[in-house]
Amino acid sequence: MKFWLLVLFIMPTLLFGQSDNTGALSLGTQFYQNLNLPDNYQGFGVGLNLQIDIAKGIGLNTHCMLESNDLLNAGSIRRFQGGVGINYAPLFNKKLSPWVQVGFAYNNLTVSPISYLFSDNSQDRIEQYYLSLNTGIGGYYKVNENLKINLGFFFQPQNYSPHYVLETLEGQSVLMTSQSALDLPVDPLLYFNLGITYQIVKLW
Amino acid sequence: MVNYKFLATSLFIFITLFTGFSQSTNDWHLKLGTNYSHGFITENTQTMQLHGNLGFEKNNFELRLDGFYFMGQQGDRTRFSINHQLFLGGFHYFFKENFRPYIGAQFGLSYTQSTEYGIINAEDVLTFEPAFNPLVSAGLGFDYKLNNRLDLNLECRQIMGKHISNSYPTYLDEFRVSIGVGFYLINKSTN
Repeated sequence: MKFWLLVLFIMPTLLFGQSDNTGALSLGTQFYQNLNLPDNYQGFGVGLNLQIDIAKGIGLNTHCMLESNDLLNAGSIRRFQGGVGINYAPLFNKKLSPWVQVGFAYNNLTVSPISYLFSDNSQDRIEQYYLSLNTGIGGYYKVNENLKINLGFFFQPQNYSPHYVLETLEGQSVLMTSQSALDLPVDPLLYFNLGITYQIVKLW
Repeated sequence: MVNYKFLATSLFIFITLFTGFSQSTNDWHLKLGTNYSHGFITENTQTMQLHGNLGFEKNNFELRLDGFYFMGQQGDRTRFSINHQLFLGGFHYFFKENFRPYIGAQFGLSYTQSTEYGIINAEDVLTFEPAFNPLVSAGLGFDYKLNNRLDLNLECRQIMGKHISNSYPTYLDEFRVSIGVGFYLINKSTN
């Protein structure tokens, strides 16, 4: 009982005690490169993020991202992702701080086999939706009281069954889509992330 | 396939641009820029854009939203009928004097439509699918302050990206030069 009372007393003090970043609303612009891209994929993503610092070093983060991957004359995969997470930066009032983030991301994948002038394959285009865990680790450098440069890695295990497969037949890549799920493993996403976040306003 | 050379170069430029500039003042301004932009792409092709931007500057750092409205192109390979672009990012200003060079990087989106790779659809109509795609851009330039409300601006930037749609992809890489004027909507600068 004493322990729980202590926890109840300490936790709000830790979380909502005096801090100089609580209430800060920051807007960021971000670059994402999947380091775990399969061969024959080329592309990157860009996105926006919005963070509200709700307590000492703790921020509620939302992000959206568009990534286009060219499958080298076989088609393309476009990913739109939106997510929420909790970001914790233990040294939030220092120039340099590491951070960790945990959250979820909603993914919308559009898989388009390539079409040619007289071969319209648009009926084979498929869309897949799924939710994934989004965990990140990184650091930021506080350039001044408003501006931070952030660098990190996001890991997203992919817990969905793909309805597409990229196969290489006689040196030619072919993207095949199917209405039913294929029993294939999907590599987790490992994004390298670089961006800036700018504190726009202090809400409270 | 990850282009690590591109990634390492981008990282180096980005970090070099924004680190070490921690001078802090209360001066700030909000500026609206209107520019004409001329682009140079491969195969002797040039593009024309209207370029507008809105920037908030404090502590020699400007958070800036840039929009390019595609007006047309000329040359040996006129490959897009639509190529509008929107960028968000930051620029670092080196001086507080009237002549103010700057350097920066932005990430953005393009809305593009090819004129080359079309599809004859089920209704026997030749169609070119427009698409949104991500972009990165790095640039440098300078402002020349005429008075507290107005400045002249010259900027050049490199844009990198790829138009990916339902047919063959096309590179969006382009070198652009913009020239125009900036209007200080709010100017809280002391000099």
